[in-house]
Amino acid sequence: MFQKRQKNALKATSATTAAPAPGKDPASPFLEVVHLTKAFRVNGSVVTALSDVSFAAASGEMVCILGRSGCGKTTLLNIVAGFLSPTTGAVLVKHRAVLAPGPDRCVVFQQDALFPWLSVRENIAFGLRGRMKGKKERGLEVDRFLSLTGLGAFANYLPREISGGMKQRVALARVLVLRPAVLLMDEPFASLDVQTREEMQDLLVSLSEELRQTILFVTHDVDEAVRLADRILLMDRNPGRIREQIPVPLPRPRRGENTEFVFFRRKLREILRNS
Amino acid sequence: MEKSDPEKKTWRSLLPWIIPVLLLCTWAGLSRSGLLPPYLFPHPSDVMQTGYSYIFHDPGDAPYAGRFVVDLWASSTRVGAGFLLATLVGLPLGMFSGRLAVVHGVLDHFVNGLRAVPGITWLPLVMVWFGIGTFTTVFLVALAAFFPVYLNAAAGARQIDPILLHAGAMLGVRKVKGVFTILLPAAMPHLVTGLRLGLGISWAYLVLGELTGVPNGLGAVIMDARMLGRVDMIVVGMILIAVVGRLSDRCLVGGLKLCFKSARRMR
Repeated sequence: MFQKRQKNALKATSATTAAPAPGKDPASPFLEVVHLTKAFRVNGSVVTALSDVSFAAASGEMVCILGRSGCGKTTLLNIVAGFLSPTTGAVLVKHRAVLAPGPDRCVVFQQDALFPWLSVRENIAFGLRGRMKGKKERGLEVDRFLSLTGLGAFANYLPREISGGMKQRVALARVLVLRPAVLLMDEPFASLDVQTREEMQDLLVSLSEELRQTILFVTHDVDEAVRLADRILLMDRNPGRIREQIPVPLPRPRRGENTEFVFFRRKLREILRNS
Repeated sequence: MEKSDPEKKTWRSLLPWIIPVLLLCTWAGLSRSGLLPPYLFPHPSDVMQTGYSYIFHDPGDAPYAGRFVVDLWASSTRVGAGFLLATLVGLPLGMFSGRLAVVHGVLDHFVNGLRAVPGITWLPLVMVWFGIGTFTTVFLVALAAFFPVYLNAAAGARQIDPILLHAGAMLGVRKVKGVFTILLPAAMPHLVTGLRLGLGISWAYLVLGELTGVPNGLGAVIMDARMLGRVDMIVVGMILIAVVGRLSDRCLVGGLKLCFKSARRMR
């Protein structure tokens, strides 16, 4: 039995252009990254941060970008978000090129990026102002996301009065409430303690299933990638590029003590070590 | 969170009075012992009497009697006008200079050079321009208050965490709206500091402006009392400026907190 599983996993690993995970809609590539290259000029010499990166994410798919620090994964995310512009290549969301930051591609940052002068509720409502007309309608929507992220009791707290994990819940809620085409997450749980991180990962999985949210998730944590991803993009550094695309066919919920999970993780670690 | 123990609270509310009361006791002791001759520094009871007459008696009862309201009004309008002018010019310029390298490049050397010129050296020039009176005072107040307002606004705008601007951009905030929804609240602690310093220095330069010989105002009364050798009245004027200055600071902070959520929720 173990043999068979190993074979399956190997087969999955060798597939470089992965089919979208079952249940996701392959016909609509929500997010396309096409031959993206990014070069920075540092002290007069040119450093290539990203070299010919191409991939696509289907609607509702959770794609994890896994790589060691310095491989350009945050640069890639910043380009998709529109904070940086690529040297060559393009990012398309629903077939339209990305030129600037916008509410169709929201980011949950690693560090605290909440507005400190707004309460939890006001932070979540921030992006809705000007998008939803009715004040009452807006309030109901905010309430819904407060309870979805388990923040109901903290609605009137200020960011400085809540814990790091709670802050990331708010950060998640304030972008999910805008129903972005793609949710971008830049190691959002990296600075949380282990228990909180696992809680947040479970929350993210359940939210993404409920909202059928397309997610691009950057991480350096193998466990996190295996736990979350429908598909993992493995990145190399010098120059930053995608080495392999690895579908994760494991059933959910995924637990660290699960044999399949353990096997898959070991497999992935091996691949990483050889990089 | 600190416990709001009621007993502790009353004790706390007494703290600000310790130094004034101690000073007053020392002053009274020194005056009574004769170490402090009255023509240099009058007895507290004399000062209190003069103060009482200055504030509450009818005009004409005695020199300076009942002039307080008129003087206060004259001085507050000068401070108000000068401070408002400084804020209207200094705050936006400071914010621009903090955010835009071009504006910073154009303004920074000039403003800091100008700042090195002591306010008092402007007095002769301004008197030539505007003569003696309200204009001169308002100009001096505005000039003096401009620098702390400008510098703190610039510092506040400069050190806004770029991630807040990124967050704003991705949440759909456009440039102009972002000034009010993000830049202003994010810089608020610095803005409040700048405004408070500006208002404080406004009172200092008010007295300087009024020394030029305007007929009324708290500074004018002090200068007038000096010429008549009324040391008690000088002390009354000084104490009143301290009280009014402190009150105006409280009003400024209270007003800002009333108007801006970000000021209310400052740490």
